[in-house]
Amino acid sequence: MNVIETRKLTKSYGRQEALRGVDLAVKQGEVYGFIGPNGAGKTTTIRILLGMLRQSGGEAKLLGGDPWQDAVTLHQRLVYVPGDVILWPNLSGGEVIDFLARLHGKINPSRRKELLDKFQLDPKKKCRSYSKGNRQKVVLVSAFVSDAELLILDEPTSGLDPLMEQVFQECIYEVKKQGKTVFLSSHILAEVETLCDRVGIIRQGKIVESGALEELRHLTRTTVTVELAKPVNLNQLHGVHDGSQKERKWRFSVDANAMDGVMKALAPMGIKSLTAEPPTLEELFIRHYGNEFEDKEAGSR
Amino acid sequence: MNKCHFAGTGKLLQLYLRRDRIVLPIWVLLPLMLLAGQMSFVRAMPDWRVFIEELSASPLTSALLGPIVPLSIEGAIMWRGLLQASIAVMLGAALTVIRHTRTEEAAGRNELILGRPIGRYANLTAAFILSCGGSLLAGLLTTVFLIGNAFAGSGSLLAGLTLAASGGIFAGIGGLGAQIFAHSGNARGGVFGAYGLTMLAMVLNNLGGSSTGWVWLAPEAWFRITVPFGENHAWPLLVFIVLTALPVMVSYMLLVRRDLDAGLVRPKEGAAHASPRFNSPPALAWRQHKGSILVWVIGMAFLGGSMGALTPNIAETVSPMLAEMNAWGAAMAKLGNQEGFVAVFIYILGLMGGLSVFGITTVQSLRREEKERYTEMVLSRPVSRWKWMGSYLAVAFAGSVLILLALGLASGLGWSVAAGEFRHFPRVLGMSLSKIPPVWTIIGIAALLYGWLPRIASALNWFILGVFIFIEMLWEVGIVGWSAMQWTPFAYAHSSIPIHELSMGPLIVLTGIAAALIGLGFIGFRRRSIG
Repeated sequence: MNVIETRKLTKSYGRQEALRGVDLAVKQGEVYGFIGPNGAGKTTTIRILLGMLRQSGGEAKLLGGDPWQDAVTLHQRLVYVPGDVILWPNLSGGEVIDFLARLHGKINPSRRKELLDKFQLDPKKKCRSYSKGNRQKVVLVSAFVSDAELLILDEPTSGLDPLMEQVFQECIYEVKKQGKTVFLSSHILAEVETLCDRVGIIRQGKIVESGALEELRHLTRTTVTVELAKPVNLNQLHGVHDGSQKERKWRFSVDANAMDGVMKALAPMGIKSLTAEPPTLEELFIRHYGNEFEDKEAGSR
Repeated sequence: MNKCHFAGTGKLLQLYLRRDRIVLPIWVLLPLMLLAGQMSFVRAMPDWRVFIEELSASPLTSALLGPIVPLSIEGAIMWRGLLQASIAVMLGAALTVIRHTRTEEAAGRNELILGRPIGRYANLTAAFILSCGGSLLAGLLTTVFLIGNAFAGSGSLLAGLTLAASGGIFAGIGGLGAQIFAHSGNARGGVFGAYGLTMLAMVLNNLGGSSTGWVWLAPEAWFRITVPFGENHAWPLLVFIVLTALPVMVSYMLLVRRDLDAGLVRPKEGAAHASPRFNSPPALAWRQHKGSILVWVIGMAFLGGSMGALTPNIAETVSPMLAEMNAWGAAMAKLGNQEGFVAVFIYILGLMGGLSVFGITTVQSLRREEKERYTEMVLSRPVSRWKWMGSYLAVAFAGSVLILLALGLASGLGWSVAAGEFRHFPRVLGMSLSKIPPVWTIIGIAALLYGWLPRIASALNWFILGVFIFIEMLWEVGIVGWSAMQWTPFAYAHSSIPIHELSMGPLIVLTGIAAALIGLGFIGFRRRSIG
């Protein structure tokens, strides 16, 4: 059964089209990555799924129900972590966690304590004085403390330090082990790669790619910068794309499955320095869709 | 003070002018319109001379507004028009300073500015320049308007400058509030509290014969010190400037002594666990509003109690002319001066000027919760929209009842204790509680607007209240009849109706209308998008 299903979902604000036909199918028990650049329509989609916005057209089903009509009963079974977290300035973090949990029912005190320790969050501070990362932690604790069967997370790690991102990933693994479904929106490809079983890529209000990560490997290339002692033309190597050369320094991207061959070819060339970085989503889009993407982005502004 | 502390003031001023291009003209032009309104009221009356002599002599109107000085058409226009104009400028100036200082700081935008080559005093200075400049402009426009209506030049200039001075000192008080409170809402509350105290000082001055020292504490009545078109004293303007400099200087001193984002009161740590009863949307709504309700209760109890205690000082002599003059005069003559005074101040505090503001601002907090995305946090949990909105409206209803109860009890006690007899007490309490249905109707109108037109609800709300008050003013001077008043919710618990003659039927209907408005508002809210 699909936990989230949308078909040809559209949303327009006046003449501006935020969603232009979004098709999603999230299966029970999977961690689904919903990725796309800023302004692609991720949050709009989520807000329709939560019954905050009314769609202009198409269909949306959530846990077998209608997100607008059945909002209250459906929300009993899910938790949501908004991307841009602002909390009631006059309440303490602990109060927010307790309050939100009680809207569902009871809170498990030992689980609460465990999560507060894990995220190293001081629950006594007023939300006014929390930093962005700490506010994010409050909402994450409040999400993981619940026993909802579906977690909808909108860029949940923005503002978290790498150590806390680690904790977040552990929590997601744990949730997955319990058989829960996670819908994770992000613009950080690396995060999605580590966590998600399947991904959907949204761009300008449309899903442009979706499937298991392995199927989308062609999208995940590593960007390599290497300084070599010997002159060489790397463009002929299998799996190397978009090579450019500045004196002895090469910059190119490599398909994930071609990495081994490329490294073997580079090794005898006298490597002076080498950095390899995962591509950012934007880079990937520009590479994958060429200038058409840039032009459209510029045009839509 | 180092000069570079002020670097960038001009650029910030430009920004503020751009941001205030709608708000600033409103409060700068409002005094002009109020004066023009008062002028047309007075001139519309064929026997205005009799009118102002009567009102000036009446112990009731003297207690509320003071005698008319000088006893001429100019004096009559200062008497009520300049009083209202000053109140508009005072609140406009103070709220403008808070809007550009504390509100910006609490929202974190001030940090964006301070990270640039901008001096530490630039923000506050630009805000003061804007507010004081706006007040001065309002004053000069007033001067031009008065001269244009063939009033004496010196008196017109003095009236305008006195008006500007009242705005100036409240700009200072706004700056002070912005330094003391870490929350812009509290700072605004501080300004309204200060305004309430000046009102009390004004009434004390009126009761003391209108030339006591109290008047210095009531900037809205400073024209009683300068007396434009009468004795034309210019020297008090210098004293006003010194008085204005005080809060301004203290604001600068506090600004450098406190931390960014902090007020003078250090924030306490919160509880690690929520109290067991903090478990539902109504609990959240109550938690968000209990502070402001408490402040309203204390403020209204204080003002009502003090005014009630002053009531026995009002002479009961009623001139038969007053009753002849217009419907308002007749109603007041029937009530007697003391009861009329209590009825009028309870009407102003409990409905027209006080509780209607409470109702509107409390419902408007729904929009703020929505814009800050708190609503989304709650509605993404198993909470229906009806329950969320209903919780806040319930708090608005219950809060208004609590405040009116406090106002009625304190006013009744004040009057009874000062008079040494308790026969007035139940009537005063009744006066206050009779305001519940009209206040609920105002809450209903606000809820309807929030449900259907969230973006413009705030502006429309204040506009509608303004229209109601305008109709009231037209009725008081006899330009429109009672049938016009009946279009406002004010008419059904009006100060001119003796409490024992008030009919329950219309009040019950009004409560029904409030419920219907809420129902319609809810339908709109359920159909629209959040955010």
